[in-house]
Amino acid sequence: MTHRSVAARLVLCACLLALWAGQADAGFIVVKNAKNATSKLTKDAVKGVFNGKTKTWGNGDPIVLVIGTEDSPAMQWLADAIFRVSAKTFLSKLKQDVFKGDVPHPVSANDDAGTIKRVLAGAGVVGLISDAGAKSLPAELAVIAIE
Amino acid sequence: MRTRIQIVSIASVLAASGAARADVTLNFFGDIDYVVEHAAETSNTFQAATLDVFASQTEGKFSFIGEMIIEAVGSNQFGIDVDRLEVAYKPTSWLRFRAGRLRSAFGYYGDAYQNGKFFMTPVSWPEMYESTQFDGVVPSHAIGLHGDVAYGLGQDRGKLTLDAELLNGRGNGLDDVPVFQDANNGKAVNLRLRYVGEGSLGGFIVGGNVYVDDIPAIDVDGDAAADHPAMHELVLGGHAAYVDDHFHLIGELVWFRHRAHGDVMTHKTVAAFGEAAYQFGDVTPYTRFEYTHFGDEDPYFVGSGIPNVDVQMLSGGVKYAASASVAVKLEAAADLKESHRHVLAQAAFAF
Repeated sequence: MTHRSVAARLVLCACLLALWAGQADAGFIVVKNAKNATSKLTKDAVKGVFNGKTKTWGNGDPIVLVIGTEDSPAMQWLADAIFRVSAKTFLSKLKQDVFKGDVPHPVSANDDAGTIKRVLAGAGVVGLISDAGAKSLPAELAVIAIE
Repeated sequence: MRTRIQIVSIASVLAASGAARADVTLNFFGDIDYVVEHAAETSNTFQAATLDVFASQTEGKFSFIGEMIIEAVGSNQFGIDVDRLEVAYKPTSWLRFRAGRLRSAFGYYGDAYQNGKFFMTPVSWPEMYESTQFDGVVPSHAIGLHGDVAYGLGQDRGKLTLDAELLNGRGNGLDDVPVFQDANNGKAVNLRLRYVGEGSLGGFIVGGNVYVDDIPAIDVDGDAAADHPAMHELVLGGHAAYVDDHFHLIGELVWFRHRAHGDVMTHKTVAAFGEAAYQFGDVTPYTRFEYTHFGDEDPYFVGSGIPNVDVQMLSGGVKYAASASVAVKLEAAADLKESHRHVLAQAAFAF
């Protein structure tokens, strides 16, 4: 094996590693309507919000979730980073609780723009937008920090 | 023809309300099956017999659920049934009231899965809740008032919940749900007490029911087999379930006692089932055993079309989660006492 081919393989590995690391870092943040006073939640509390077990905010407003399809990056991130299950499993369980009448029907959005529009529409609405989308949030929206 | 007109009318009303309120969403549930069945003889058939239209809406502390089922049960004619029509009021996080037609708070299976076969691991309900031939013996459909309260036991220690219901109760038969006129003035009372686990016991539920009712008498002209006297009913039930991301263990036991008015003789029936499953990724193999024992010929159950024959049904199968909206299942079942077996392939959906 020549020095040139070894170097080429190292460069290729470095590129793949960088690509993988970039995908792993691509995160999402929890956003809420600015009228909602909640500013931070623990990871367990975020779980409770998005699995429907926690039904109201501190001020009594009902929680309304913004949910995407199973192949939307936000749902894949939520299922993986928060619930440690597949998006398919997470969404199936949520659907079941909606069907039981235990959780209010979520509203749907599959991208940052749609999510922002949904969250602006109600004081109790909560959703996920990408790190990139968070850089230009409207003033009527705010971030819920995950402790 | 009339059914078709009714379906079109109801769909139009739902569509119109959906357009008027952009935040009302309709969901559609159902299943498509292929069944090979062996009893006296062997038969096979495709089935596309159920469409479930579900709508819910929340406004502040009030919420609404409407669920309409268009189905053909035991025949090739579709009929329409409003399975749920309920309004709920939740003044606090630990207290809720509901009124209307609802799934009663009895046992685990009825209100955990409602009518959603997509959500169930096996292809259908345990027979004590519902079968393909007749409604189940458990009083799972109800019209009336419901209240539930939860008492937290501390951080990650779970909670106790109490459901209390005042209902029209049983109709003239198991398939008769008195949605407009109760056949007698006595009302059924149903109480369910549960422990619901949290933290390390998340997914664990154990509880029990007491259900008391007065069953109206029925005298069908020319059909003595359907007749039964007015009866007092006492039902006691217990259930335990552990359902998490991988494990699925559910067991229920129900004891029924019926006594005709003015009589001392009682009719007792026991029904139970247990099911177990473990999820490997998208694939979930499962098994279920069902047991029903009739102490003697109960006039109410026999009059409702249930054969006075004990059941010991063993079934096993596999569920494959094809997507968040479609599940494919394959199940084989055999009655250990009777010559009755079936194999069923199902595609269940929830859009």
